[in-house]
Amino acid sequence: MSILQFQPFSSAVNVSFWYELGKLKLDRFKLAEEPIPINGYYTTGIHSGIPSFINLERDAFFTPFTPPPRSYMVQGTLFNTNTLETFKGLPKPKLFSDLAEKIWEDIKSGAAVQDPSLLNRFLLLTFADLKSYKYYYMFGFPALSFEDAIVSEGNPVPLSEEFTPEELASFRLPGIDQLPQYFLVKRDESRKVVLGHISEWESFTKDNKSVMLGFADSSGLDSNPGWSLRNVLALLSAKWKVTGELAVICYKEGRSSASNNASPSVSGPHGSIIKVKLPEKFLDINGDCPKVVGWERDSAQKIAPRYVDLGSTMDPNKLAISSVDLNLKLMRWRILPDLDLDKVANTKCLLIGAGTLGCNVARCLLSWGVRTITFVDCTKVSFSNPVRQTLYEFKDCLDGGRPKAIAAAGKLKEIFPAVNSEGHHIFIPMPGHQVTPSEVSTVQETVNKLDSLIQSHDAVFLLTDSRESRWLPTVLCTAQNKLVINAALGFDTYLVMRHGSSDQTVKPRLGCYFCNDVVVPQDSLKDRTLDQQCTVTRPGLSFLASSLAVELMTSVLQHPMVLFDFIFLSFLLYSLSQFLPSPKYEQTLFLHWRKNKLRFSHSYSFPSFLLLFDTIFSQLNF
Amino acid sequence: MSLTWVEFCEQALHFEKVSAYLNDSWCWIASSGGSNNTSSELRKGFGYLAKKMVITNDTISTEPQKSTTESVIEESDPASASQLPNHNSVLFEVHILYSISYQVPVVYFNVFHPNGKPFQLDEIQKVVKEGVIITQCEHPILNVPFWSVHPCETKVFMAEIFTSGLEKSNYLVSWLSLVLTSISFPISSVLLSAAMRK
Repeated sequence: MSILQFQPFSSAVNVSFWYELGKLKLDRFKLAEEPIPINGYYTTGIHSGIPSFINLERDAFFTPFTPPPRSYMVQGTLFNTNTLETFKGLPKPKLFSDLAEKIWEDIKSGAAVQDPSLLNRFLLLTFADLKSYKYYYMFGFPALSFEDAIVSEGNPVPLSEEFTPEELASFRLPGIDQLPQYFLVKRDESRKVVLGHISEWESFTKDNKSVMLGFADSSGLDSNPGWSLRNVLALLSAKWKVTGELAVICYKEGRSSASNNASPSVSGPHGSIIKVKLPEKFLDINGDCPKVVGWERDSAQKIAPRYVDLGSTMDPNKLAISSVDLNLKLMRWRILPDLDLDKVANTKCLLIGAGTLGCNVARCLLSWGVRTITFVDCTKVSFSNPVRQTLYEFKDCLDGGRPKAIAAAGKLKEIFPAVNSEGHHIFIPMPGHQVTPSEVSTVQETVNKLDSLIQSHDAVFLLTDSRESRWLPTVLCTAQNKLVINAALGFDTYLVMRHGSSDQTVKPRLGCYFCNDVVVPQDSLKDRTLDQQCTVTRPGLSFLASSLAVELMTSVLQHPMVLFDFIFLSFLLYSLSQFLPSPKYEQTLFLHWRKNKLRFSHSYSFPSFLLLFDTIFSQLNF
Repeated sequence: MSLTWVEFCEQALHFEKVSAYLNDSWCWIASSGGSNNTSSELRKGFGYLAKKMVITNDTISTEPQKSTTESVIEESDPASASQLPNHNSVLFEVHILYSISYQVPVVYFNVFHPNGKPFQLDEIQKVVKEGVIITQCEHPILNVPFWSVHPCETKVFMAEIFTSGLEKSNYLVSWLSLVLTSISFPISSVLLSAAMRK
C-alpha cells in the first residue's frame, strides 16, 4: 500500500500558438486584459519517458474546437498581460483557486456529471513581448485534492489479463472511433461487458456488482495514472460519497510506432487496472472547494514562469541575418568544410569608388556575409548611373543628385538591415593634378581622413575611374600593410589584381598596380574628349570584374598567411578578344596557393571566349 | 524513376488507411482546391501526408526550460508524481508532398522544443543522418519555413531500387522507408510491411 501518485500534465506549446497570440493581441485584444477561453488537447499515454503533454496550437483560439483524432479536448483560460510587471504581479493563487471553484461548482450542480470533460481545465498566464518575440508563461492544471491521501493497493494488472481483445475493442463508442474520456465498466450476469456513462453510477452500483471506473489515461507510466483521474475521483467522492476500494482502468490507445526503438507496433488498446482506496472521509459537497494543486513544475520540481525566445524565428531582422548565414553555412557542409566564413564576415571593407564597380563589389560582399562596408566617393548620382550602378535608383538622380557614397551606404542598409555601412563624400587627391595654395589645408585634411579610414578597415578595394586616383590610396595602404584589391575597366578588357604585402621580410615581394605598369600616374583626365574621360566599357564587364574582385579577396582570406605568399597568382589580365558564336574554347581560371591548399576554380564557357593570361610571377623579384 | 500525381495520391491514401488500421497517426491532408477523396478533383500538388509525433531521445536533448527566478508558492503535494523532464522530448512533424517539377515525393519536416521553439540549423544537423543534404525552404502549401531533403537524387536512387523487379505500386512505401530513416524519423517496420502490396 502506497500513496497513489498521479502524473502531472506538461505544457507543449506549438510555435503557431505564439504566432496567433501575437497576432490577436495586435489586431483584437490590444490592451484588454480580460480572460480569454482557449482549448488544448491531450492524448493517451505514449511512452514511459514522455510526459503527458497538453498541446496548444494555433486553433486553440478558434471555436468550435476539434481536437485531432484520438485526442481529448481540454478547456482553458488565458490571461495575457500587457507588461512583465503585471505578469509578475498577477494574483496567481487566486486565479488558480477561482478556476478550481468553477470545477467545484460544476460538480455541485451536476453539470460535471452530465459532461465530465468540464472536470479538466487549465490556466495559462502569459506575457508576450512583441518587440523581441519573447513569451513568458505559466501553466496550471487544477486538481481537487483530498485531506487524506488516496492509496493504491497491490500492483497494476495488465488489461489483457482481465479483458479479451474483443472486449477491449468494444470500449470504443460505436461510430466514433474513440474511447470516451471517462466510463464505467461492469460485467452482467452472463459475464458480458457492459459500459456506462459516469452519470449512471448509481444504477450501475445498485446491484453491487464490482464496477470499474475507466478513463483515458494520459500517462505513459504503468503505476502512475494521469492527472485527469484526480477530479473524477473527487466527483465520485463528493457526489455519491464513494469511499473504500475502487478498481480503475487506465486505458491507453495503441502505441504504434511512437517508441524510439523499432519495436513492433502494439495495435489495439492496452493499459492496466489499479486498485485504489478512496479515503473514508469523503468530500463534503455542501462545503467549500477542497484544496487545489497543479501548477506546472520544471525538472527541478520548482514552480516558476517559463519563457521562450522566438526572436530568431520571428523577428524579421533576425530572420534576415539567420537566412543569409544559413545560405553561407550550407557551403561548409559538404562542398567546402574548411571554409572560414567568420573571417570573411569580419573583414571590414573600404570601397574607394562607389560607381559601377563599387556598387557591384558591395552587393557581392553582402552575399558573402561581410558586415562592415564603407564607401568613399566624391561624385553625385547622375542620370546615366542607375542602369549600371546597381545601388542607385532614378529618384537618387533628382535635385542635382544625391552624393553617391551616402546613397550607396543607405541602400545597403535597405537590402540587409544588419549591415554596418557608411558613406564618405571625399575627393581623393591625385598626382599630376594641381593643388592651389588655398586648397592645401583641405587636401591635408582629406589625406588624414583617408589614412584613418584605411587604418580602421582590413581590406581596401580600389574601384575608381582613373589611374591616378588610385595612387594615394595605394601608398597609404602599403604603408599600413592592408590587403588591397584593385579592379579597373577598359572597353573590353578588365583588370583584377591584388597588391603585394609591404612586409620587407617577405621575399620575393609582389608588386602593386603601379609597379606592374610602365607609365607613371599623371593627369589623364585633362584635354581628353568625352569618350576618353568617362569610362566607356561594355556593360557586362563591370559585373565580371567586380565579382572576381570579391572572390579574389575571399580566396586570399582563406589562406592562413593571407598577405604573405611567394607563388601566388596576383596578376590576371583578361581580354575579351574575339567574339565567335560557337564555344570554341573553354577557359579556366585558377587561383591557387603554393601548396594547393585551396583550389578555387571556375570554368567559363561562353559563346565568345575569354583568353586568360595565367602569369605566374613566382621566381621573379620585383 | 518517377511517380505521377495520381499514383502518389493513390498510394498515400492507401498508406493512410493501413496506418489507421494499425493505430498509427499518419493522415492525408488535402488543401483547398478540391474534395478530399479523389485525386482527379484535387489540384495537382495540393495534398500531403502528415504525421506529428513526440520523440524522446538523448541525442536530441534540448536545453532545459529556462525559468525566471520568481516562484509561486504551492505546498508540495504527496499525491503528485515528479514532473518528468521535458527537455528530452521534442515534437517532430513530417509532411510528405509531391514535387511537381521533379515528379517524385519530397519530405518536409520540422522539429520543435516543447515550448514551441523550432530547431535551428545546428540542432537539425544533429538530428539528420550524416551526408543528408537538407535545406530550409517554404512549405509549398502552408508557406511557413520547413526543412526539406532536396529531391534531386530521388529519381536516381529509386531507379536503383526498382531494378530488382519491385512493383511500382510500392514506390511510396519504399521511398518512405529510405527517406524517413535518413532524417531519423521513427517509422514502424510493421506499418511498412503491411503497406506493401504483393
